[in-house]
Amino acid sequence: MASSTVEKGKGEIIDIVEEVRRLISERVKDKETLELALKIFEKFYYNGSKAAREYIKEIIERVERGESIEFEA
Amino acid sequence: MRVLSLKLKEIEIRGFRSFTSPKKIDLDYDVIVLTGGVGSGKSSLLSAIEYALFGTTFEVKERKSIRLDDLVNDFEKEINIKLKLVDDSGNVYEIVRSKLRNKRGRLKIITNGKEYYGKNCEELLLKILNGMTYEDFIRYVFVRQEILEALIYGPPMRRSEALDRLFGISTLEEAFRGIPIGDVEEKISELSLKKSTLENIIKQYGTPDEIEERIARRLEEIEKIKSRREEIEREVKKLEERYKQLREIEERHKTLTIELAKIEAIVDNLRKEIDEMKTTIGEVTKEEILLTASELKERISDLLVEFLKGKEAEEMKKLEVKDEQMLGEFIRKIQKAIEILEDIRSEYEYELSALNERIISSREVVSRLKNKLNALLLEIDELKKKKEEYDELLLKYGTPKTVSKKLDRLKEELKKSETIGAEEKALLEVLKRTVKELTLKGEVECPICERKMRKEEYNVKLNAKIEKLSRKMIESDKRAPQLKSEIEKLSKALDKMHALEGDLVDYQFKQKELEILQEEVRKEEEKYYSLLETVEEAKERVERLTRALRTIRRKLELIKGYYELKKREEELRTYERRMKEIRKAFSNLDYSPEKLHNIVQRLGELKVALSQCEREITQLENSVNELKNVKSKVEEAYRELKEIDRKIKTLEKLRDRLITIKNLFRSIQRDVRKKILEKLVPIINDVFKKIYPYEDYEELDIKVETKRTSEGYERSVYTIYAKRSIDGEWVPVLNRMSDGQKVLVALALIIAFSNLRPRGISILIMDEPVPNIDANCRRAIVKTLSSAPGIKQLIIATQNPEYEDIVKVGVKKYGIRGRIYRLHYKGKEGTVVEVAL
Repeated sequence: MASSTVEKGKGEIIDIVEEVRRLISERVKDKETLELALKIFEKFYYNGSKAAREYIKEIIERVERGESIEFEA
Repeated sequence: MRVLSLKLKEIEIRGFRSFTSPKKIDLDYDVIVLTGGVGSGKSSLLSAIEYALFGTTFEVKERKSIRLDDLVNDFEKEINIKLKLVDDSGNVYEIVRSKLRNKRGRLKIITNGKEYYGKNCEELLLKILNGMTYEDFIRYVFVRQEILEALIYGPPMRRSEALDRLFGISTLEEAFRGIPIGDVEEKISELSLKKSTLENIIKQYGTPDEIEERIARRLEEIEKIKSRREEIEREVKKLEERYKQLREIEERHKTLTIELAKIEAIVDNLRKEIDEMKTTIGEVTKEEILLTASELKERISDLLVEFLKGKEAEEMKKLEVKDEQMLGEFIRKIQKAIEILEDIRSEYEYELSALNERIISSREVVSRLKNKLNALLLEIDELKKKKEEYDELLLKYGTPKTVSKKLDRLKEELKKSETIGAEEKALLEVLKRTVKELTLKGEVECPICERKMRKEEYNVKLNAKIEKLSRKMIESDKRAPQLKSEIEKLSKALDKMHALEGDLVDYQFKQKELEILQEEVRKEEEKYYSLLETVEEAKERVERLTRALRTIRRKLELIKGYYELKKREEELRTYERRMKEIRKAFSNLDYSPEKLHNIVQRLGELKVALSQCEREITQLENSVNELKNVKSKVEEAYRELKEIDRKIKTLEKLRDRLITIKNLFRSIQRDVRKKILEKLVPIINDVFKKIYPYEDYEELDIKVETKRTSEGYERSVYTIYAKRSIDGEWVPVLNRMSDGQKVLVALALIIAFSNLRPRGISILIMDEPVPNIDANCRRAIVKTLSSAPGIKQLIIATQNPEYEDIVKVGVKKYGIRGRIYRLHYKGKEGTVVEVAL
């Protein structure tokens, strides 16, 4: 997000990003799942559905190509 | 960041939708009501605000029912909207948006006396709007009826989505739906299919060890066949050697057979030939032939001497013929001598031919000379006649010189006679005239001497003179024709003589020529007769030589025949000897066709066996190669299977994580919804109480109810309840309330949300928001909105004119700063805005 623009979500009834981060961190103990969940949410929130879906498809393709993905470790 | 609340101050519209000519509208009021019939331009004005702020409209971006270019008024080429905003510190921001048809729109911002253009301008505007995006604008600033309806009507999921969008938390649902579990499942299924194919391959071909075992078995078989093949090859080699020997014997036998057959044929022919030769030459002894040869030698030798071939004659004399063996050499030498004699004869014949040509040529020369002689003689005859004519003239007139002198003299005489005649004639005339005048006049002056003459004195003299002259003149007249005739005759004779003088010269010349020609003819004739004699002699010699040669040839033929006969007899003896040898060789050859046949048959069988071995080896080798390929394929399949297993496991892990995340998003969605409602429901109730002036429902509540989907995911929906006053029961708004009541509930929600002032936006624009409510409700709404803490500016567009009264009452009773605009559409002039309050 460009620093010059007004941050998305600020000024809403609740700060959704902050709230989601908090809740995910509270509920997910597995580190990889937590990171993936946060990444997916932020992708959907900041980059839109299309980009987020592309991100997940890229993960699937990486698995298909036999490349390692972070959460495998 | 300090959040400043914004208000609309003024708008100027040109060329936008129903607005044609520029219209400036003051918006610096708390409540503004736009009234007008269908197509009057109310929605166009509200869309102009939307376009000025975001460069698009709901119809273009959300409904997608029109294109940006359709926003340009039909009678204008360009949109030009100037919107002024003011914040609570009094800062004015002028936003100018313009767009030519078929061109991109342009944005300009003017604030604090500065103008901003270009690509960063949209970012600056977003900053001015405190980060309010277009999505935020349509969520809680520009509330259309369909937004309100979506909040109340429709299936629970759609309603929940609308509320989530209003609350700004729709990302959670989007994320839940957007996680493509299906893609992962599909990929797992693809890989499982691949795995199953690979398993089938392994099942079909067995394990690599099993395949290796099969390969080893085949290699063993190959070795066995190879050893069999070697044995066969050894036998084949042995048999081929024997076969080669037998073939050589067969070839020898064949060659001898052919040779014998040929010799037998030759012997037969030779015998026949000898018989024929004996018949031809007759019974002749060796001694007779040798004698003939000796005679022949002598004869040829004589001929060679006669024809001046002394050296050859000497050689011929030395030639010896003592026995039959010398006949071959003798025949060759005789033939050579015959050739020499033939050459001599040819030379003679050639000479004879040359002599004949010379005779012909000589005869032609003689004939030509004689013709010439005859022509010359004729010419001389002619010239002789002319000479005789000349001689006659000479005799008659003398030489041309004499004739010429005589002619000159006669011509002189004629000339003199003619001159004197003329003078005398003139004198006679003068005298006659003088006599006449004297007779008439008696006295006249002499015309010659000018002396006075008198008649009596001169008349007689003059007449005498006249008579004398007259006589003389008569004589002169007689002499002139004689002279002329004489001159003419002499002239002709002279001319003739001159003409004949050339012929006389020719005659003498021709006489000499005749003598030369006659001598030439005589010489030529002598030459011709001499040639004739030479030819006769040559002919005689040629004939003699021809006769001699004929005899020589006949004798030579006899000798040659005898010689050839002896040669054939010798040849026959040689062939008979050879036949004996061949017959002996046949008996020495151990030739047996059966043996050869047996070997060939055995070789054929062995070759078939060899080819069978080769085929089997090739088949087995192919099978080994195929098995090796299969083995590598199976090994590859094993590797791939392992890899696929790993991928499937990873994908399953990913799928499980994504399912967990999806569930997580749904649970978070539920809790976030609840948290927002905790804050919002009290404010909704506060607003509802103000805008709903009846007592049948006293309180509203929104619950988040959770269920499980068939796929096992949690699903929460908003359900709005109203507390019925009559029995204190909470009933679902959707099932129990009327349409008008539902819209009021939705409006309460919007107003409550606006009161929370997200992003500090304090403007609420409503396009025909609540069509099915009564006047009490409308009044309550306006009153509530105008006094709502979060809403500083309210713009309502409606067809219902009662809103005018509501605003009027509000202004009068509650001191609201309100304005009413009535809008009309006037064709080409476009929308006209009339201030009603």
